[in-house]
Amino acid sequence: MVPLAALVGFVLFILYANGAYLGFSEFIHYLKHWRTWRCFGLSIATASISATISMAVAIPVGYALAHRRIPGGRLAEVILDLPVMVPPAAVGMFLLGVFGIPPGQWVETVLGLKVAHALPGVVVAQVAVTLAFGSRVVCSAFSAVDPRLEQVSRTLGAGPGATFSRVSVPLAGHGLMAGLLIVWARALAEYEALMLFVGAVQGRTDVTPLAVYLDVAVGNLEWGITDSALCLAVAALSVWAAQRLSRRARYG
Amino acid sequence: MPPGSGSVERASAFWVALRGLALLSIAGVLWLFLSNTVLMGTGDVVRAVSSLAFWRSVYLSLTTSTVTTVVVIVFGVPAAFALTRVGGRAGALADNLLAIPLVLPASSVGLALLVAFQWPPVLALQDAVGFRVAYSQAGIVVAQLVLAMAVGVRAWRAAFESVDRRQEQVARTLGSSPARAFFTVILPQARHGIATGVVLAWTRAMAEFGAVLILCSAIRGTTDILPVAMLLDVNAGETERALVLGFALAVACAAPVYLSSRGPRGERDRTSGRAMVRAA
Repeated sequence: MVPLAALVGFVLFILYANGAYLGFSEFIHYLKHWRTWRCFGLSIATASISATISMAVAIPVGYALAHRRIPGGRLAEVILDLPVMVPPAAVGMFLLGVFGIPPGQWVETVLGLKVAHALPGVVVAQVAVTLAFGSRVVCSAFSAVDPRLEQVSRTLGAGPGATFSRVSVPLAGHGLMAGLLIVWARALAEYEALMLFVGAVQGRTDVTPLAVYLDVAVGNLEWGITDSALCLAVAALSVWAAQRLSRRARYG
Repeated sequence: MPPGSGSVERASAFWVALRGLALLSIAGVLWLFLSNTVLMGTGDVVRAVSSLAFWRSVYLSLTTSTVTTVVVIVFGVPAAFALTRVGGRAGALADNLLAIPLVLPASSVGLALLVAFQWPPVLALQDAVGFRVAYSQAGIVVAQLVLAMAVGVRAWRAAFESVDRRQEQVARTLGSSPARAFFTVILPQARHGIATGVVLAWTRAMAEFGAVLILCSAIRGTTDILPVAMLLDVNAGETERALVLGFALAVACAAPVYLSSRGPRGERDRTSGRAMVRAA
């Protein structure tokens, strides 16, 4: 019990110290500032786009993973899992390299879409970091579906596509929604890969996590704490909703 | 599945599409990791690896994350076990409080630590003890601790939960003390899950970058653990050197997790697998 109390006490102390440092009137002052909401809106928008892209790929790939239909077997599964194990900072570094040489460079030179040190890069980094993680979450959601129900659907004449869309997806629905929320929350909190790939550029790429970094860099800690409080509120909300959804997924 | 249905399914457009997408994803991951090797000539690798700064960063990363892991084990394993015994609201609250660092941006975690450790009363306490956390190597350990602890506690909690409660109760009715039941019944059964938690905590500490950057800043020669050195190199335009550091970091973090996830299936898979899923 003592170690647990020590850890909980440490977290509470950190939270208290930050609250005491910030003060309520300062908090309200920065909360009302338009820049706070511009950065936060940018965060919500990029994270939503990234989570949608990630899940659009993760749902089919996760389904194939759950049914062990990945071509290449165990080796392929390990490769798909790599981005979860590799630190986000290294992923950001590799992205920087990939978009610096052809064919990655063509996105910028041929399509004219500036990725590195620009807003599209934020989405690219968020997708790169959450995609593998999303596939893993989706895989466990589909694995929770009773395989017999899918087999019954097949014996009753439904094709694999119809079984997927009319049996597996509805049955795994709550789990998939929970997965979407977790992926979204993770994209929203992504910072390390962004720091290397995109960099913190005031007024251009300053999603909230990068805005916190910029605030610290100019010594405005109060503003950073206000931004953090916003992030904490959204994270708490999405984790709470995800927990409720996955509990419903488990007990029907 | 009835015999023969496999070949029918393999031919269906649905599975072809799914497998195609999976192949594309695999190709994407390989492209991300392998195309960067083109950027690094052997000369770059040799030059980076033979520099003193590279090994100093490796050494700093290894030592700080090992110290962190030891502290995480000392506090985290008993705390995780306590969490499995504290039910109801209090348990859920403690669980969620400890998970905060996992859902917060690493920059916010670093800022929260910076503010807390630069708070005048705490600053006075640090001066009395004789060292300061912010902008020092002690700060690296503190920043890593917060993240690694959250990962470790989740993994260990799952490991303890996968041990059958009845065996512990039998040990108690046969006259063993709670401590003895813990060390002779629960701990041996949860050992694979605990080992997985140790690996996850260590790799999380190795990977830690965002919070370190804010709490300790990027100071060449003082706080340049592998990821921080990588950022310093990128900012200095030394992309090749940064890539070498990136690969070193990727291997250092991915290899232990991969190695601990394989091996004989069965009991080991059950406890460590659950620990892994919960921590992720």
